[in-house]
Amino acid sequence: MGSARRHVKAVAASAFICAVFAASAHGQSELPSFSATGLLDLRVALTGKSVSWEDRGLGKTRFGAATDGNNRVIARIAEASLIVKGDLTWDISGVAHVIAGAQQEHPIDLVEAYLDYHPVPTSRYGIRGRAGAFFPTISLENTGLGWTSPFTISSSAINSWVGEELRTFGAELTAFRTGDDIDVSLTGSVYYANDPAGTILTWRGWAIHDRKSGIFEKIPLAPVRIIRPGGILDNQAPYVAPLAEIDDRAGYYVGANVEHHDFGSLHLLYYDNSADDREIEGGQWAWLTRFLSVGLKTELPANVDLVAQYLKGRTSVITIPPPTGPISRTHYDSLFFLVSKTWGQHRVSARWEHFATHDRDRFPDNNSETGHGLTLAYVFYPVAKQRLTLELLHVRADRPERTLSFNLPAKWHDTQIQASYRFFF
Amino acid sequence: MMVLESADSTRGCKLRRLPVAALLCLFIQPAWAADVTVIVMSQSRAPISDAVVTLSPTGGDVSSGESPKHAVMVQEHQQFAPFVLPIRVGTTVEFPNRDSFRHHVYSFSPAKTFELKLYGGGETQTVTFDVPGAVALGCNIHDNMLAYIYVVETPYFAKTSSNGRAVIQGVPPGNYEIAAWHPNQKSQPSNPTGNFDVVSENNVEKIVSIEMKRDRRPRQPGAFDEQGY
Repeated sequence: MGSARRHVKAVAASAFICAVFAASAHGQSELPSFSATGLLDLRVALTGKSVSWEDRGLGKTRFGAATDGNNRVIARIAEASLIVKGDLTWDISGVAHVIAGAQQEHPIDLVEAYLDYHPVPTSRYGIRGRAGAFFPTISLENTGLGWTSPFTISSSAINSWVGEELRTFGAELTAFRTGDDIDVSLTGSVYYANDPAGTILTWRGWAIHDRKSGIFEKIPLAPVRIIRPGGILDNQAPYVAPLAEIDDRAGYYVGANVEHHDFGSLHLLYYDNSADDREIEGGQWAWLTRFLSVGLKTELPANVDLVAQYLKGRTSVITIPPPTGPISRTHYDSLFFLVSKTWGQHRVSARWEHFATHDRDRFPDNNSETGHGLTLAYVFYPVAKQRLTLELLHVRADRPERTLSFNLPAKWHDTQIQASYRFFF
Repeated sequence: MMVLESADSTRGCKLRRLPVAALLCLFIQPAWAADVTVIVMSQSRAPISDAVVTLSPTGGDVSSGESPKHAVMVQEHQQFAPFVLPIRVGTTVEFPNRDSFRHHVYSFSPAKTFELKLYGGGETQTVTFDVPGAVALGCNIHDNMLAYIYVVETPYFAKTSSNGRAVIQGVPPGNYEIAAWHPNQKSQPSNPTGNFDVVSENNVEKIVSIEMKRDRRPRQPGAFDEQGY
């Protein structure tokens, strides 16, 4: 069922892209009109000393050691993104974000593909909507082209998780009021898919990186004891396919955004994928994942930008039917503060963050972790549409399962230094 | 209090009582007019650019005086220009789209609610503004585009330059109410800040202080990070 639906998604997305490209022969100005933007990110990284989650480790950084304890230098194309926008009418557009990368499961994948409805406001009140596959309205940090951050290379732990496990596959409607001093909007969404969201947060924990998973991607999991062959939950595949639909139930989120023209923005989002957490299909559990996110963006004295976000939630699966069956349950929370200052072609930013998961079940594994991250970044725009970013990321964490599964110290710290050069078009 | 005579009533007095009228006309319509310079400053005494200064003849007769009947609000490089356009009631504004792509200009301000669907490559449409007040302009395709048209009744108005100075030329003698408006000022609509007399051809300089909203970083058109890089 799930794989059939994934197939439908692939066909639908491919048809959409083909339609977009086929119609792009039209001029810029006539309707429908099509335009393309994108970015190419060349990266050099001095990795941390832990094996990255991308290589089935429990490391927190995107670029990690080949074997634990030995850092290395990696140079690669970190991201190649193409974002095609097709204006179908004056108030309906289609957007497709295609991403290419050697580290992806599929060399070419989709990050987002949706229709955007934005009728011209005729009063202080208005609506807009989206339908398709897209990021939920959650991040005040990832405001750049292709869901990048204008401040750093690596997103916060919160938005790194959004980038890898969350994607709305449904419809979102926003009603807004534009005021003289305050703009207010209310957003609601109903979606399918996204049932396995929460898997990676339980068995790997938080991570801090810039890797956006593709809609069709399977993200590798570290072989922690519980999901190894012979483990209690070895029916879990050694990867998570975050956008799988398993239980045929719709999830929802509701959000609000208040923007005071002088003081900045406050954003709230409550997310509930309403998964039936007794179901498993194709090696993917439906995790019942709920969280509340609170974001703040404002300007401090001396033109210093402040972005902060707090997210707290829980996720669970019932692996044997109740009333007696064991439950895997994890509570999680994270908080970050980011300050940034821009002058001319330069920007410096610093982000501190806390992250934690709390294992609240009777299984003999221990998915608890606490940790902190500090990110320092310098951005330089040498010419229009090019950006150099230097970033230092230091993470400290304590995760007992590292010892239990891999005989590594539970407490560790890692430092990753990256240089990124981005070309935008 | 001096009341400005309209051109029609002057012609009437010429026909019927010419000598008296001539004397009167000499008195009330002298050949001279003054230039009034207004400096607009914030509460922290920083000069404010893009503020619209108006001189309204006391008594409300704004029918005299001449002002341009046409003005232009350009869309180019994904920006409106100018940022603030002051016009007199009845003025027709042209909206040429000099970009190669489309713009969807709109306003839902009470002074004028409209939308213009402008294809790229120079398409121009016009809107006539016949109600005084501030009209905020946006583009439904490009969220970062923002500009204001400020529609005034008086013929005596000007916009401050970067040094906060505006010069209103050719102001005839009389008593005027002075006011300044800026999109970022706290009290909307703006209130007159006082009265003064233009009594001789000596140019007048006035200082007006307006209370601005919190000093946010000015929007930098074309700033790299504003474009999502």
